[in-house]
Amino acid sequence: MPAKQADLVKYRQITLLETLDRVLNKGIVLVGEVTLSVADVDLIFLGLQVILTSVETAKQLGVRREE
Amino acid sequence: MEGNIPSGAVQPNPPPFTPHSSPSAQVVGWYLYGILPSSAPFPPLVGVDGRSALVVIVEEGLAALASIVPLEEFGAEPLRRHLEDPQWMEEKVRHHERIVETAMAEAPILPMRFGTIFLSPEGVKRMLQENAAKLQEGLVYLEDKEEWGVKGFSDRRRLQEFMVGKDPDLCRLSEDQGLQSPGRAFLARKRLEELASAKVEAREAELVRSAEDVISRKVVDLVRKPPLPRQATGRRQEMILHLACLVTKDQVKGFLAMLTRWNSAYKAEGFELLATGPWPPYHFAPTVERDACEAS
Repeated sequence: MPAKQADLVKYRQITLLETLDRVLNKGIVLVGEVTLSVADVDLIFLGLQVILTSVETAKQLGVRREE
Repeated sequence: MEGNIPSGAVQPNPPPFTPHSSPSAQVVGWYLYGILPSSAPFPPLVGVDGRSALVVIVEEGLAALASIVPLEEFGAEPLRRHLEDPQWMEEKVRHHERIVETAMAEAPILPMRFGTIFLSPEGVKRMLQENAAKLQEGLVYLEDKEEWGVKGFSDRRRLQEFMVGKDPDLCRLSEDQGLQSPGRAFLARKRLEELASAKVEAREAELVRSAEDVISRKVVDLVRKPPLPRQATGRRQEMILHLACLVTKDQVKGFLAMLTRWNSAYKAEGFELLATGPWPPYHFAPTVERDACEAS
């Protein structure tokens, strides 16, 4: 089966990319504008999507890591 | 430090340092990892700051798994700087993921996105209150399901070789390359390249459609994602299919077996499906409105 241990280990670098993609881009997303000031709001939503817009980010992180 | 934790919150261990109580001198935030049923156990781990114990903030039968983080490291500005530090990011993202996955082993969890930080437990409670129905529904819906990633890789060279062997047009051009004069061989090679590349693309599109079709019959829900470029995957093969799948737990075995069968069937064409999981349901967790959790 494709998900047997050896295969999953072999594709570790992809798993890192997937982890970054999921953790940075998905999950419960608190929709709204980016808040950069912490002083007057109750919630800081750190709008990572501004900088980490997409898989591009994961790609860069992943690629840089392998260097 | 007790004063900073509302009465509804469960706090297994006191945090290792005392936050200032004055709002103007706020030094810590509450970093959220995910939302669990309030009855669920939660892992005895240390949070992303590397020292603060995990706590849960409970409201409406929901528990937000959290830990306090120093704002000098996790505040908006410092975080912006850290975003440019891949090593810091990778360590923290992996830490976040480890906590979510450990919790997921015991109970359903709605994973939060990285960097969701509240300035007070009251803010967390308000978010839980105002989104309670949606979050409870999400937990019930996801309880018996797992998220799996599926990617399809195409070995184009192999696919082309396979097609040259089967396709009469390609076959003839391929033979012409060797038999004609140098000029005609060159033209034949050029035509072969063009035709083969078009046919390979068309065949890949067919394979993708057919794989999606088979997969969609085994999953509850499915999100199509843009395939990653080769420089990101580090593989020679081209990624031509990228899915996040929601699979009922009792269907996972059959789902993986189906992928295996698929791989055997299309191996000769150089097409391979790869599954990773189970993941926390990042792609299938509900969305929470930020407006609902802002302080007035």
